[in-house]
Amino acid sequence: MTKKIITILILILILFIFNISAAAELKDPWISEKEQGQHGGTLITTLLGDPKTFNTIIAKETSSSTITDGYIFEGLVTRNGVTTEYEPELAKSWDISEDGRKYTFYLREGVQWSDGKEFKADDVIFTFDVIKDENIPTSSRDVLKVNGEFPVYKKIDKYTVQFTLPESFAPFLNNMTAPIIPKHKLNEAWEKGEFNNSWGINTDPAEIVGTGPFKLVDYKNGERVVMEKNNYYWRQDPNGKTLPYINRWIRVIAESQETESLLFEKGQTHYLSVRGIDYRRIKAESENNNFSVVDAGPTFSTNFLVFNMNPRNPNLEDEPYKYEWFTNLNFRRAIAHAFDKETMINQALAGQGTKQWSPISIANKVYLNEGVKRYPYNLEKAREELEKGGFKWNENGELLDANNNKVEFTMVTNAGNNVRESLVNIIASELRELGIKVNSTPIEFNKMVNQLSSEWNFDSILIGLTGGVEPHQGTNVWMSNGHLHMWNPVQEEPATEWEKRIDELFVKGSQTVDLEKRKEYYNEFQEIVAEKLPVIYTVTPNSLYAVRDSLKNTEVTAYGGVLWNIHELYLEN
Amino acid sequence: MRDYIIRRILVVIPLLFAISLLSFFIMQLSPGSYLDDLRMNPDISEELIRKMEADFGLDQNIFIQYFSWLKEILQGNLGESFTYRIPVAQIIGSRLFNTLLLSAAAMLISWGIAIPIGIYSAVHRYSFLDNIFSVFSFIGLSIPNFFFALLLLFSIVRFDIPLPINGMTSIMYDYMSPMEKVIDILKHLLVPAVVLGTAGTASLMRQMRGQMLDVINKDYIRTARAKGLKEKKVIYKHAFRNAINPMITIFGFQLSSLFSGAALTEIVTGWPGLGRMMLTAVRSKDLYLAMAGMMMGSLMLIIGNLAADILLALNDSRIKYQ
Repeated sequence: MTKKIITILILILILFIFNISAAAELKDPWISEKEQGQHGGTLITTLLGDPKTFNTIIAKETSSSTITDGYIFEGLVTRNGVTTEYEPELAKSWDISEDGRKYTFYLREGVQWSDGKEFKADDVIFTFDVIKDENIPTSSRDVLKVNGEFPVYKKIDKYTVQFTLPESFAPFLNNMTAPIIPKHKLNEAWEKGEFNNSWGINTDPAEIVGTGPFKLVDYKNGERVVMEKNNYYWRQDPNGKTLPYINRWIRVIAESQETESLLFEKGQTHYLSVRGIDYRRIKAESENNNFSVVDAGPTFSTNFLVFNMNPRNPNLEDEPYKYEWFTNLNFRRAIAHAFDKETMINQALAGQGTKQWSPISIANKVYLNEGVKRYPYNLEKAREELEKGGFKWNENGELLDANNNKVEFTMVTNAGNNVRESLVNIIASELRELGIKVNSTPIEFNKMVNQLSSEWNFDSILIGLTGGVEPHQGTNVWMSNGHLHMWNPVQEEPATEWEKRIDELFVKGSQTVDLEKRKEYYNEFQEIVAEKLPVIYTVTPNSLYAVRDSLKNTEVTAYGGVLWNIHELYLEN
Repeated sequence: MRDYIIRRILVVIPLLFAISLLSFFIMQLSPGSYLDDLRMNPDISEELIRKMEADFGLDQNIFIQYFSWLKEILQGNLGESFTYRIPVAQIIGSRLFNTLLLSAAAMLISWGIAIPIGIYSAVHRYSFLDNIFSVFSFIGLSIPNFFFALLLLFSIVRFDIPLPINGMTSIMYDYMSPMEKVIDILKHLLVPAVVLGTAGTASLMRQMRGQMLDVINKDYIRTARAKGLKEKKVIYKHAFRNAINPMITIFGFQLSSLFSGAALTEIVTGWPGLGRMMLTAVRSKDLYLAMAGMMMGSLMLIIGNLAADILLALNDSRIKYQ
């Protein structure tokens, strides 16, 4: 009997010791500077769609990454939700060598995965091994390549990783926000070649392990995603207790924006992303309800009109004059002057928007050049520009070009996007004033993409792209060999002087680490685009949020939304 | 009868083959592919897109694609979804029950209301109630489902009715007793089922009324009445049995909608059914997922028709199949 008790005691002791040695001590916690909050509570928010996968490396839709990135998985560095500047995340600090080619990251010691295993340099190496693997369909690989070469990376010690680039490349740090995945969970699948099918939506939530503030506990297809606090998280409150404050986070899949706002108005969710058309109603309701509406300024999204300036347009055989119009700078300037952005904001965005002039999103605090050329709404100016461009009017007021061809073209946008459809209508009616006949047709998204990317047979398209903080992310759009260089894609040699200059500026901008220098290059780029108008910008919606008063420590921004500092948010009883 | 059923089932095979051929080619020949969405993402390079195209087999000849799909299907493999990268069968399986529940509840409501009212309206033609029912059915016919659903949801929020407005289970579902779970689901089911049910009611009601009116004026009804049969027996035994035949055919058609779901209502009420998912699959050109949905719909349509034919024979002894 005593023997038994002793063995059990020894076993318990061994387990105890083993446990202690497994749970590494967190040496570099991050400590919140916000006011001390209350721990506990359930946060309820909405999602607009089901996740497609929990495998963040191969995820391509925001419906998937919005669940995982930043909440379950974290990168080495991150961007501050307010200032958008780089901040340490899993790396506590980093060095950049003089020549800008060597990046050394020092990891936080003692960070643990949500299953209690320690986070080490091996996990970082594993993540980049996976990204580098040509069999893994991930967009991270291409953005990491510098001049077509993947950076060389190596583990220095347990907590240090070093990347060596073939040449200086400033956007590199931006790519280090890529989420790090656990080697101990995924290595086996990767070696067997099953990585692409790992961590699909049918995976047991307990298998999905990250370093983020939350871990997945349940996913009910089409209904909700349930997450719980990661008890091993490395951020701490001012009293030294592990963050996040919020214990459980339920994300209801609402499927439509109407349902989203109904749920919020019924008091069931903690915040709502308010659409322009709902703004007045929600604002009025907020007066005698327990929530407030925050206008976080313009979003990163853009909407613009692009003319086909591609000499390879197959339609040019029948109507070669269209190429002459669209490449005529005076013509494009006239169109720009005919954009009534005031009306666009009022009608398409219910008054909640901002005019855009520069190719960099208005929300981009770091790189936006506010001094670029503007084209205020003025039909007189537009007519002057058209005359300068060699156009004239017939007795019926129809616009003719120098060879007496009537100016008439199509303007396409994707069906189902209400904002774009009404933008097209507003533009078309203004152009009618100038004697231009616009045939506006909303078409299926797929068809539009085909016209834009492979058939090249459109006249003009109204479309939008969402930008980020790092201008280099736009290389596929702005460099003349890019496949999204919509007005004349995949050029072998830049067709014009200014396109050549933009190419140069993008190369220089990526090779310079010094921020002020980079700003100069991207400022010039913005000036050129505003001057030459390859695309004509319209208006940008504002990001509006209704946030319940019980949710504390919020700092709502267009970049980070409501949840960028979710680890610091708490619920007041 | 048995021979007839066997023959009908044999006909199904080439029919399904033709349907699959048609839908596959329409899907593939319409402009665009699953990769188009990715093409518009500035972060994704042409190279990666070409690689994925090869991965999915989308770069191959369309006939080769079709026959390799057919080969897999014959072995019971529905293929893998492009979007989710897991087998199609698993994705559909996770939502099949939900859709079935909703459709069955909706059918119960629409038939349960439409048949008695239809009969009543026909028997009491132009009475006050008949007029009221007609007005309601015309309103029901003209209101789009999604709008009616939004209207109901709006009233729930506006008047603070204790009913859920989204999803199929409430947040506390996992912590409930089995009885509470059933009640919880029924509460959530109410709005979408009423919306879908009443939508069907209006037209069924008018159909039933019309059929009954047709029959009621027939000579044999007069004979039955002249024989001194009770009015109830005349209506239910003689008139109804004859009037119901076309309704059975409609029922057969409706069976197919059991699985295909109702995308718009599902979207608005947040019901996690197949409808919305299939709509997204077709629009994003998630080929194998969409094909599985279409094949399931066609199969149900065929089975529904067969079931209707058999029911017809059971109901009406004049109908015989050789």
